[in-house]
Amino acid sequence: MDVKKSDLLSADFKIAAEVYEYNYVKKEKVWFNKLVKSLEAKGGPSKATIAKSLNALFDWGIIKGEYGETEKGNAGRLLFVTNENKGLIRDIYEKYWKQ
Amino acid sequence: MKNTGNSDAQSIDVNYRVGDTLNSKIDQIRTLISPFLENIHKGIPGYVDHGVEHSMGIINLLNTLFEKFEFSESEKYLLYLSAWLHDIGCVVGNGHAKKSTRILEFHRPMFEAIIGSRTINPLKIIIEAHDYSLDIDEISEIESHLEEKDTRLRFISALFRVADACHLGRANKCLYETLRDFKVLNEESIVHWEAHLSVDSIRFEFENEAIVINAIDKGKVDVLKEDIESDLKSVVHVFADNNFPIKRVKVRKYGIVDN
Repeated sequence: MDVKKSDLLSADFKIAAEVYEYNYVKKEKVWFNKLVKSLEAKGGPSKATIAKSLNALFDWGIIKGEYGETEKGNAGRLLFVTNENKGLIRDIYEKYWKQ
Repeated sequence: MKNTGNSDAQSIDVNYRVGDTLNSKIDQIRTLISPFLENIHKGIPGYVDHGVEHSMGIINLLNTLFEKFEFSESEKYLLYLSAWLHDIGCVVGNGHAKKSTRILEFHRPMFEAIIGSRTINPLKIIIEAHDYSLDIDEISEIESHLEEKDTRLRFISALFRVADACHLGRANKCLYETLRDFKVLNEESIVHWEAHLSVDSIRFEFENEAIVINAIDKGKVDVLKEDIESDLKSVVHVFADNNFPIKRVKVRKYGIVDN
């Protein structure tokens, strides 16, 4: 059975790769609900898993949150891959997540 | 082995000789613990090199061994993970092997999510054995209880202890000269810095049953030779048990074949 490369990633790193894609490939803002919908479309982790993973990713310094305007003009917590992890998450994205 | 050395951060582009699944796990672990390795205090005036470069240097060395000898997937996987994880405890100070395993336990859910629970226990053993926190000969008893029967845990723990000692010769000469100029170094640290600066390369020469240090200045590397000899002495019986033909350490003048 072929295993998709993306399936090789843990939930945490799938989420990190998706945030990376928004930050640097699509160059779009991303916040929690947008991330959930985006990952749902890709058959990704559940909302609860994403919430739990984001907490872990914040704790590990891989993702940071900054308050700002969402695309709809509402205030929200925008998600970013931290600068110090950008290179490594980029490589994870390129190797396992990019479609 | 490729290492693109991207300017904004390290690259994970390291060649692991394992399948895609294990490769991905190692990539994720490396990403996770990089901040630990990057925040290890350098220990100046002493010469201590724990960090990403040291881990990658050990991986380079392991890859040369994997080309010459048969290792199972699980053995290679554990060795690669050990290369990344064995020094994370240095971020909190001395006695680092026990601290490294304590960090693994402290953040066990995160590590387990990536590498699985069955990998953590043998990994802790290799890490603790590398700095003598665990006696190599105590591992035989533990090994018999392992689920993965294709893992020679005592042997790879012994190998890792020596491989860790063998990552030499990556000192920055300009940095050294600056530290000397500012009188930051002491007599003992100068000996170590100059020893590392004098190393061109290190190889496992199986035909000579030796670890060979190729040195620019043979006389200055004695302190490093003694360190490796000490580690090798502690495990040479394990190497013999596993038909791994390395028994001694030699120093060779760089550029000259000198037997």
